[in-house]
Amino acid sequence: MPPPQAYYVWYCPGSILALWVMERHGLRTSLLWGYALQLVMITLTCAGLRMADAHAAYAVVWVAQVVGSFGQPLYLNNVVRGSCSAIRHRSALTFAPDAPGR
Amino acid sequence: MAVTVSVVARSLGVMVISAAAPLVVSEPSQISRLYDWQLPVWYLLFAAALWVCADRPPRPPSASAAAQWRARDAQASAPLELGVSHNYRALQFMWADTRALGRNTNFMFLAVSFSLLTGIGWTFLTVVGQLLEPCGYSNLLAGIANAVFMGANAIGCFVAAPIVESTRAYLTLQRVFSWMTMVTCLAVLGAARPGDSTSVLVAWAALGFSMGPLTPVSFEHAVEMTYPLPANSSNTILNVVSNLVGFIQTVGITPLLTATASATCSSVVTPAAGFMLICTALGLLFTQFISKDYRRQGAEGVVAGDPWECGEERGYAAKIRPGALPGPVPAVDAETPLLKS
Repeated sequence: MPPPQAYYVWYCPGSILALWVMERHGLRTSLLWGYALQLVMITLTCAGLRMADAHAAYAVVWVAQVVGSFGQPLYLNNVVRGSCSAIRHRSALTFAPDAPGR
Repeated sequence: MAVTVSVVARSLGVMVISAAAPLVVSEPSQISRLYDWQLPVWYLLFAAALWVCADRPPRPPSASAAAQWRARDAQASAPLELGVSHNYRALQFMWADTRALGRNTNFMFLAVSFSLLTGIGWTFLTVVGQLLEPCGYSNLLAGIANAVFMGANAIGCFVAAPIVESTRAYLTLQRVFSWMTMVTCLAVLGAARPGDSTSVLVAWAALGFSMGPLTPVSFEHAVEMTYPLPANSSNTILNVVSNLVGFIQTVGITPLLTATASATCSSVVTPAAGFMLICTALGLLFTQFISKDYRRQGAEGVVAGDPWECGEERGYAAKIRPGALPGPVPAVDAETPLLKS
């Protein structure tokens, strides 16, 4: 299976793991683990692309893609959660200074 | 707006990497350069997350968020059942949320519609070269069409963001952008004829502009209709399903592009064009099945009026997570107290 397809396939179990990490440890830990895994993915890819042995290089890049596909959902799937829970959104009834009933 | 900025940032990242690739890499042995310069960027992001990010802001950003936080805090502080670890309980809550999403027919329609329409967008980007090159266009034009699509995608997002924010009419906007996607998809397929590169680029820009806002609108719409479930649960399902559907669509269209009409560009009526149109039309059809269900807005209105009147919302929360009733909602900040009294 070529590396890009590996990424698509492993993104799904990665997403399930990301849901659990978010539920158990929260947004900050999810982001930290996501970025850390992304760093590992890029480091492995850099190393793999410099290897002389084509088979070994392919294997390392494949593993890097799998690591990346577990890391990416940890920050990508939390975009809306981060935005919704951190940014004050408009609500005529709750936040307008002249809201009725105050 | 925050969701839009996040979504656009993702598209812009893809665009920057796509544009940088031919400048940085001129032969296969130089591909590692593309990754070398990303390393310091990710170190910076990691450091930023370490020092800047918190799980939550100091105050809830809205009445609905305050109610949601209270429910989650109640759930987190509830004593563990005998033999159940924190890790296992997190898994139970995750599974309960996912099942609740699965039972929400409205959300399922949204997920199917979103995945079909977004998936076809990614399929277009993947096969742009195979669509245009048989019509006599260079690989360069395919690259430009790709960049035009991504640029128009970002512009569409930013044009739609203030409309979404001011109206919060998610369903109407979802349907409008789905219709626009259908029409512009037809335009892109119709423009795949020899000798008219301007029409090709205009059609691709129109498609990008129409499809761009679909992602932030769908994400927000999903959060709205699945409140008080955590936003990342609906977001995860949308991302996973669209990834899978996009993958299937890309794999499905590849053999169709080798059919005579597509390979020789002798007609715009091809099996590949039919496949893309059917997928888009199905996405549009499922959008029509979605009904208006603005639970978050409803919760905000009720909570602002009287927190003890939000029985329906509390009932919903209780059904999903037993013992997690929102109860009275704390004031969001001192200047704008939430409660009527």
